Amino acid sequence: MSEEGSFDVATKSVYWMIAGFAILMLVLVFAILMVNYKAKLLHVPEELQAQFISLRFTQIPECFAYQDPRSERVYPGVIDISKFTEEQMKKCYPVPEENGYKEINFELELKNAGNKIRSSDYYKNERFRREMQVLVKEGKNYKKDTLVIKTQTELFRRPE
Amino acid sequence: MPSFNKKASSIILMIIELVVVVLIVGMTFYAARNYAKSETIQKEIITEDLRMMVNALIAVPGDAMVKYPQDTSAYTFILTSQGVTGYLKGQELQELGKVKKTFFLPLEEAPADTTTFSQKMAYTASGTVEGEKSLCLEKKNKHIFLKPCLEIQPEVSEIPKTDEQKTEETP
Repeated sequence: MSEEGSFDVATKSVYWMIAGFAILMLVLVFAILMVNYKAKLLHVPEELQAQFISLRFTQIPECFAYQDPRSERVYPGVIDISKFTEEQMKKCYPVPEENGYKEINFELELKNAGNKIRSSDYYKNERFRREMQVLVKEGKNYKKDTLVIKTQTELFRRPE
Repeated sequence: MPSFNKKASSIILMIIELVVVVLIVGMTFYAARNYAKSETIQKEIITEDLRMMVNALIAVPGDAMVKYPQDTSAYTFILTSQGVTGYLKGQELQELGKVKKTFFLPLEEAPADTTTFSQKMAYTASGTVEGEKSLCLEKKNKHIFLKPCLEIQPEVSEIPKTDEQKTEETP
């Protein structure tokens, strides 16, 4: 091979090495972009998910809504204070014990009554909160109160 | 003359490079657009929507029915009391292509051990829809059904008669 010929081969090898690296980088960047794009397309705001779950707290008798024992009529938006316990919370929103921290968890607080209850894996990692006006039934009395729904979203590991 | 050739070839090379870059960018956008509309993405979106619909239906004190406002004929959905699974129609054996979303239905009694799902559920959910154009979630008492949606036909007496029909009826 002449001197010019061997120079040509060397130039081409260098060119293809650089081109190969550039193409590989482009493919990698494209793959990362697609993964991010997919995550963006599938993203559902956590506030929305939490809101749909937390609707049940004040609406159904299996959670905290008052139900007339005689007529069995349910009063959505009226909280039966005798049901406002952690035991009832476990019935209402039963997150599994072994990996419940990966789910949305809640702490509910009745501002005026001062009662606080939480779901099994709530570790006070509050991400956002929502307040709503409710009536609290205590014995025969109804009192106005504010229900604060504190939300803890998915945790990557269980806090120590 | 040789200098002219060199200049011409460099311009041609530049044009080719520009065309290639434009083509690559165009193809990237085309691929991303197709990907966004693809059944894989839609399957995940619909499954998540179904999960949220179940969570919303639990909170309805009475009975209710919700129709999913999108063509679902390319997919199969299975609803159980633990969650909803979605996959492309005919791909039930491919575990990798399945999307599973869980939810937690209220229980009859507080669980002694929450590691199992053997507790008595206050609410239950069930149903399978395979390749149906439209699907409905129906809450009846404390059960949520996933089923194909039947087109709601208005009662014959409810359809207002047209002027032509009225004139036909009169002798």
